[in-house]
Amino acid sequence: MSDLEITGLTLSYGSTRVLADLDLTVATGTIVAVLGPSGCGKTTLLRLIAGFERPDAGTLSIDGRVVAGSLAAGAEKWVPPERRHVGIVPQEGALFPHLDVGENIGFGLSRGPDRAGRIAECLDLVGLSGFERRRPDELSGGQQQRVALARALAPDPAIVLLDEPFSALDSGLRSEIREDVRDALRRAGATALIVTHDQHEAFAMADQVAVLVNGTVGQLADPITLYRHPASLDVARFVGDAIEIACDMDVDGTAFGELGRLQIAGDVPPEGQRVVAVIRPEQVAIDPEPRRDTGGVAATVLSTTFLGSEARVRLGLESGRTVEARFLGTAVPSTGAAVTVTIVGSVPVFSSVEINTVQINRAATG
Amino acid sequence: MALLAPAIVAAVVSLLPLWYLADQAVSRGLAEVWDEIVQERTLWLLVRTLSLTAVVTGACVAIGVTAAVLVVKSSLPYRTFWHLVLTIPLAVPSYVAAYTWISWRSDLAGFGGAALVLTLVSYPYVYLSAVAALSRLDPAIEEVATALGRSPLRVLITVSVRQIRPAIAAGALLVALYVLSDFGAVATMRYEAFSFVIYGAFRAGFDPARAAILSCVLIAVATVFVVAESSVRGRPSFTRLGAGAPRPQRRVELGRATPLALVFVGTIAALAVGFPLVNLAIWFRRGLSATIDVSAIANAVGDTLMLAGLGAALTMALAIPVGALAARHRGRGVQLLERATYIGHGLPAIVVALAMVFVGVNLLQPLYQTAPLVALAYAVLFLPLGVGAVRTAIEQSPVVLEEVARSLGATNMSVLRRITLTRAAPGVAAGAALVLLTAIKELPATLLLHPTGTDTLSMTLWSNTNIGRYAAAAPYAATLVVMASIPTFVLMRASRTMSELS
Repeated sequence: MSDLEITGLTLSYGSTRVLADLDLTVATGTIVAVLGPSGCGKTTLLRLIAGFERPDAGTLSIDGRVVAGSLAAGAEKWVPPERRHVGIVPQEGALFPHLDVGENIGFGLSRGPDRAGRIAECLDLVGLSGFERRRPDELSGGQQQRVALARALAPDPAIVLLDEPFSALDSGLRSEIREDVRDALRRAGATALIVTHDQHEAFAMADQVAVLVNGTVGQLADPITLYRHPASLDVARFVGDAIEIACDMDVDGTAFGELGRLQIAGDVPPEGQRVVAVIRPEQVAIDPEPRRDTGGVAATVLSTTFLGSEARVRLGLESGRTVEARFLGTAVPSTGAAVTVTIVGSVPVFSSVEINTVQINRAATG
Repeated sequence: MALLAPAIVAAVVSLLPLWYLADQAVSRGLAEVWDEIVQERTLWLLVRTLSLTAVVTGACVAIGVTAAVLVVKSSLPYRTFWHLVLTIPLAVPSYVAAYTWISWRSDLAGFGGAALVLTLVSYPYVYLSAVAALSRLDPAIEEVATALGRSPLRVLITVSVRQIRPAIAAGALLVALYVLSDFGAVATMRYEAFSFVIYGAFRAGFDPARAAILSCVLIAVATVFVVAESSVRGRPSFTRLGAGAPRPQRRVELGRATPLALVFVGTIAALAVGFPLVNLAIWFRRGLSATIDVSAIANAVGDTLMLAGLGAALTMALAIPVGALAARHRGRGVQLLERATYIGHGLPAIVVALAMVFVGVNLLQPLYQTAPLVALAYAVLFLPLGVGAVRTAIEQSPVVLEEVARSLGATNMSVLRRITLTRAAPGVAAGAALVLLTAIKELPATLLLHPTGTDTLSMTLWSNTNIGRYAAAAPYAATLVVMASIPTFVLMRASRTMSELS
């Protein structure tokens, strides 16, 4: 059973195509993050689901009911926002400033004996019991966001839409609040779609992450799969830092390139094919002894940036190329040291029809 | 959309005067209109009106720009005080100002008195427009000019004042429109300009045909000013008035010229504010020694509030749907509806009043000479104020609140009631107060349309002034001045808090 089903969703503003034939399914009780760069159409997608925009084409179903698009009979269907049972949590919370917290949460509830109980229940859910009589301007940014979530959850919507809900908070608060919000969504058993440009936020919040590339879903997968087995180079580049290395496929199913011999994750391309391997910075390991027998390659430590728990290290390969690696702060090599570089674990590869050297260098040197 | 029907009603109400004018022009035929126009007396009327307009506009530009430059761009002492005082005349109805002068010297009647009074009540249009533009000037441009070797005084004239020429033009056109439409000052000063002659033709001469034709001529002239004004400005003037939030400006040192500058602003303030207040106080005291009919004043206040209250209620009822639509929808149709409601802004009140007489006689016979018809005339005249206030208030509330409310299951009308209007309530209330107090001051439409037996403050003041009973008029004038000054101070406070916040 799925709470949200989108097929062939398309929307253009003038000649700009924002969403192109987008498909997405969100199963009941799951949290899905839509991840993409600024201006990729994430917010437009939310507004289409909520009913504040009309799609040019495609079908949108919420809770098994078509709310926008064509029915089987061929008739056009349109359900206005107030009858979609969708909860929204906007960027800045957008609490009604003239209502207190209790009235905000009760806005979508009908008057009745259960109302006060439901308001208290929702406040409890977000950890703000007893806040009913507070005014929105008496709350911190994080508390406002939690009230906004409680308000969206109160009428028991089919799905909750969160639009970059933490971007207005400072970074220290952000990770704390997002765990609170995730836990509240889980306790409520809610289905949620959260839009963000922050990979950490998407990974921390969601069961499944949909990466939006060129107005369509490039990949929908759980965070581990997405990170280790990206479906395309575009997805790989957007999810985490990527060192891109041109390689040739060898007879034994490994790839060989500037960083030596690499184990392949996923499908192995045929022998002799030119591929791009995507290596994550934490997969780079160094051995202080310059040795060649481990299958590693020789490198020089060009510079180190110590950040406390971790350190970023720029390594110069013999070919002249530089690679940025990440190490724990407890094992920082000294600048100028000669080392051997090996790659830990397997890496995904993509067929290299067009490799942009500039892009590779930028990705590699950070 | 549920707002559309009432918004269309508002637009139709605003367009009623045009129906009257079109009917008059068509039913009489162009030949008759032309005959009336080319008569010598009509040409002289045109000359008298336009020469008054030219003299007053010129004087207002000279006074307004000089005062604005002194207040914003010079080292004039007590600048905030002067700014406040120089703005006050805007609140004084022209017939009240005219009363204070003619009651001092009755030989002021005629061109001189009319020009004096109109200049003193309407120069703030130029002054405020120039102050707003000067305060918004980028000081960097003046610094560049100074660095290029020009003296501070030359920079002031060749760079600063030159840059605000559009604002001065906009203010001057407002003054011209004001003079053309004014009834109170020219009627009190018995200067035969358009509004006064139209009123006379209708009331005293019982010549509705001439009144109608002269209305058409007046509208033709006014249209030229309105078109010119809107092409310079683009938006209604009252949204501009409060925008003079001063930012740090480079000020020219007056040095030894300081006393001269003080004499200038002091003279303007004395003539425009001091003299009317003092003379009013003198007449008030004289009136006290005679018998003041307290119950008559109380009745006048009651009648005034009844008519103005009814008018303000109707105006806001029509303004809310138009303002709400205009704030949230940018479509062509909505724009046209909003424009239609601004017609009252350019029409002389005497013409609107005549049109309402026509509407009363032809369309709403049972309403003729009743309070509802007066309220309808007030609505035509003051809808621009109401629509502007509603629109601005709603635009300040973020759309996202309405979207959240809809996603929580609230219908369009419910969102309007529970979110949009609740959020905009203070601004809408301020707009309603502004309309109410403007309606209290209204004279020509009230004179022509008032129900028999109803005597408002403005009517009683005017009729007493007309027969030379200045002492008897004084309490009515004083009450009007007090009432009229309230919205000015409210608006000033509001604009000050806004600039403090930003």
